[in-house]
Amino acid sequence: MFYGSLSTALAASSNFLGQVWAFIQNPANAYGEHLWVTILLSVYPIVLAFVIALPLGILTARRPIAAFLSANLSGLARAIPSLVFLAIMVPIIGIGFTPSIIALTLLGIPPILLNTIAGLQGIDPAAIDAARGMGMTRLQILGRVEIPLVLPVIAAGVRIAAIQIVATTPIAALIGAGGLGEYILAGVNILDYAQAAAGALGIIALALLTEALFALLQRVLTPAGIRAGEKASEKLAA
Amino acid sequence: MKFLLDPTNWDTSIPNSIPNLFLAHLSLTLISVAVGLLIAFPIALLVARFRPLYAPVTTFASVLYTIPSIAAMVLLIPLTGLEATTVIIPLVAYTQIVLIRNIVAAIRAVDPALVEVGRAMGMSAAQIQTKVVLPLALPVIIAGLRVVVVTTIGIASISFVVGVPSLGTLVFQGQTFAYNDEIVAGAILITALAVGADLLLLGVQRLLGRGQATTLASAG
Repeated sequence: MFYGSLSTALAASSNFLGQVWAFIQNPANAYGEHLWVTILLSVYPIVLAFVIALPLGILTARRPIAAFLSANLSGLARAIPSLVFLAIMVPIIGIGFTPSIIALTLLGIPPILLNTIAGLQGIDPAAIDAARGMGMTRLQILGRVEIPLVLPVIAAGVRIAAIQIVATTPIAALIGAGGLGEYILAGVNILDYAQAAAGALGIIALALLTEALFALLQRVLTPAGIRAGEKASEKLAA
Repeated sequence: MKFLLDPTNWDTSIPNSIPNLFLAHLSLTLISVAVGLLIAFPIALLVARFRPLYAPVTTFASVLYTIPSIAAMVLLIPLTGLEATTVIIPLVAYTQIVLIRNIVAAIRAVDPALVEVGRAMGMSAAQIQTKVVLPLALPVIIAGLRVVVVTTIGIASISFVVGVPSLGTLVFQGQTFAYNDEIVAGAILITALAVGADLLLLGVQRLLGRGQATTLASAG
């Protein structure tokens, strides 16, 4: 009895997966093109947000406005859901692919900006004093002390922004961005769950891939000394 | 503003009126956070005691957190239908990483000397947990809860995609009918709910932490 219903359930789910796979393979659905649009919808905003937020962070980190930004921007970015943000942007920037790029870029700026500021402010002055004491020039201090200390923090910010942008691309389909999100919205609308699942699985794969990629990047950018220090302090705590 | 001030939109007998959507949004949030806490708390206690568990548990929870909400909800439709459960399951999953990390950090941050004092006073292990560790950890735990509640309110607004009403429904309807007033109304209400919940919990956090600052200061 139990095994009977279990095998029915298994057969039903493998049947469903078969439908999803059939949908993905059907050339009429242009899955590849939708996937590519979603990749562009993610890559452009990540790059743009980085190019905008990094200099902004460097410029403001040593000014009083940085404190204001750190205090308010993060709270505001958290309190306004991305759906609401996209909807509010529509009357200002319109709908379609390019407006979606703009909206997603704006969404990605706060984490990178905040982490750049936090990273720059978090440099221990003692580390710079030590470098100066060792006879390093101003340029050497920048290249060998400050940048290696800040990079992992900025990378963490880019990782947060990237994940958020990828996760929001299906919502951007609501404002005409196109991509895999179209399958999700259309699939739910006409109750074609195989289509919706095909879009959802693609998005999940992209999100996990992005996370893995940026986690690796963050690891690579973290100087061996800091990594060793973290391990040691973990051991100490344990 | 017209939409917000129109009395017909406040008529509780209409299913998608503002009060009903507000309550729907609130209950999605409260149920998800409550269930999330019920799951995260024992896990965090376990992880705080058996440290080698920390890395695998938090890695798993953060992978869950990486799955985009809209995709997770859509994938659940064949299993749980166009029901609130479809929204609540992902919301609960997303609370785990922040709650577990935060509760573990809060417990670890309790000064071992104070635990020692409790033991010296003849407290049992259970008494030390409930009368020393928990009261000291609580304000930090509430701080994490604030993040979770605000995030959950935000993600819950996506629920309309799987046919579950919430304040996001206003934004979606406004979007569909190109009616900006309704979008703005939805945006204001969602943000107000998030900010209101955050301030409420901040109050609780301050209230719970009140005695502590002075004890710690006089102890130090």
